[in-house]
Amino acid sequence: MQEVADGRAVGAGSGVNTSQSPPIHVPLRYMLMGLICFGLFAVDLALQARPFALFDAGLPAIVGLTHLLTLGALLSFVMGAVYQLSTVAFLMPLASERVARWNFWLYAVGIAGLIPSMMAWWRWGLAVFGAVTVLAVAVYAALMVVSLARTHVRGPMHDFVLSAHIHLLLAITAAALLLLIDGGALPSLSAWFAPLLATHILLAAGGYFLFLILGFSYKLLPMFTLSHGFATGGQVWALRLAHASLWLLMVAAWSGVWFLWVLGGVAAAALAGVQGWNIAQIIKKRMRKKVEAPIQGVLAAAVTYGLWALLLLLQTVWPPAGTGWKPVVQLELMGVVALTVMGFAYKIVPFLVWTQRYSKPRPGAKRVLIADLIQVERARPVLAAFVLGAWGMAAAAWAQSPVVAWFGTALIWLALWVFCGQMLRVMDLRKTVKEWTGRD
Amino acid sequence: MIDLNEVREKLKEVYDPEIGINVVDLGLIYKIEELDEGTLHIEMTMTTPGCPAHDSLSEAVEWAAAQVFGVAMVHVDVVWDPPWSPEMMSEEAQRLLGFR
Repeated sequence: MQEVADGRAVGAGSGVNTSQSPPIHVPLRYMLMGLICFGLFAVDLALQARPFALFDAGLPAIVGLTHLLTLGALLSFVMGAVYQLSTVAFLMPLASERVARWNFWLYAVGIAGLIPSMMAWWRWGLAVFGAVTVLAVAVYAALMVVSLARTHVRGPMHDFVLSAHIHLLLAITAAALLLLIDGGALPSLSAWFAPLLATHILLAAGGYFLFLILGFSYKLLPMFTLSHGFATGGQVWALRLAHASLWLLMVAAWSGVWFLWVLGGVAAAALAGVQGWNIAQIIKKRMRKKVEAPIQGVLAAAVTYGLWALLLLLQTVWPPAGTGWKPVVQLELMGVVALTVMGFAYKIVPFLVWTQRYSKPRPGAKRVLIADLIQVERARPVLAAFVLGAWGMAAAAWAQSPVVAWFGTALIWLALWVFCGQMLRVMDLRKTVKEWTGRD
Repeated sequence: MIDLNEVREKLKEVYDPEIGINVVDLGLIYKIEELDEGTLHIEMTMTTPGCPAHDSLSEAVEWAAAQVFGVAMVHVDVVWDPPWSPEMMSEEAQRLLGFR
């Protein structure tokens, strides 16, 4: 920290410039795309409710819908947040802000073509737009790996975030191989399709999204609850257990050894316990006694993560006959990853918009605070409906119950629409487009 | 000669956008002194290292202080020692945050 204080230029007119963050329109464009995809996901979810909730994963429409959520909504939003948060958390600039800016267009074109190609299972589209998307995600992950390698701020949070981006590179490599096998270009690997698919899901959902959530929670939760002086000894154990769990499960997928599945499940359950302890330390030492609704949503996602780990352990000990891994994947994607992203979005998006539009002092202008942009308590019903919907959809996948599936889908649909409406209102599309114009 | 009380009052117009409390009542302002005639030195901190509002807050403090009569130059120094703690807040701020 001393290094930061020493590095400042001080003096009239110079400001105190330690800013290493990219211009706000860079993260905001990714977040805006993420929000649009959340809205599109909600629309398509209403059309595909039954097969999605029951996770009929082989249907092209469901493959497309799942990737609309993971690639279009979650990854896009998370990329924007990572570009902003990493520079703040690790006191570093991005290795290339220009690449981050321009890569958005590559990514947007890739997603716009890939999702419809998946839904129609159009092989040429899959090949062309799949390649574009893989390239864009690889550029993003490589950019972050290079940036993170240069920072002097080290520790479990850094290792979580760095590992996440290395896992993402591996996940898209697996995705590219899956597309090539499916297209008949690699017939010799076709026997490995199932373990490769499991590897892709484990690396993307667990190795990337979960690692990022675990790592950044050590920064975001203390920041938004004003927590100081909490114990951090469990963070390194969380990192070790996260790696152990991920790699044990991947080796199990390739070897088919039952005992390794169980060990991976035990490691995941132990990780949930350690992470629960880490979060409890932060919350215990908070100075804002009232925990705001968005952070309550994030805590609900952490509880869901504990339930998810128990479910995973249960399924590794007693492998399911009919439902397979559907409830586990459903619960992780919706109840853990999406809920955490939505909870933090209520804090991050208004802050970015405030910084862009209202942080500069203007003589005579009305003072605008973040509370003027959004009443965060309005997040409560949205996040509550979403978590109930996520649990409902996981239960539907487990019980193969169409009625519960409709119930869960309806709640998710409603929550996502209100969420998108609230976020777009904060962003104010007309202003966002105006700020964006002429920047590229 | 700069009226340091006036500077302090002026800094009360700078709010932490997230918390909604001004930087003086939050206890973020450690020192205000006139080094030379018309030259103001302000030492401040943030509620957390790596605070995303770092730049906007320090710039707003610099701008607000520069509005006071007699101020020709402002030096704002953000320090981390001593680290900020809730005891540094005013009673009103502690009450608003539910700390009391």
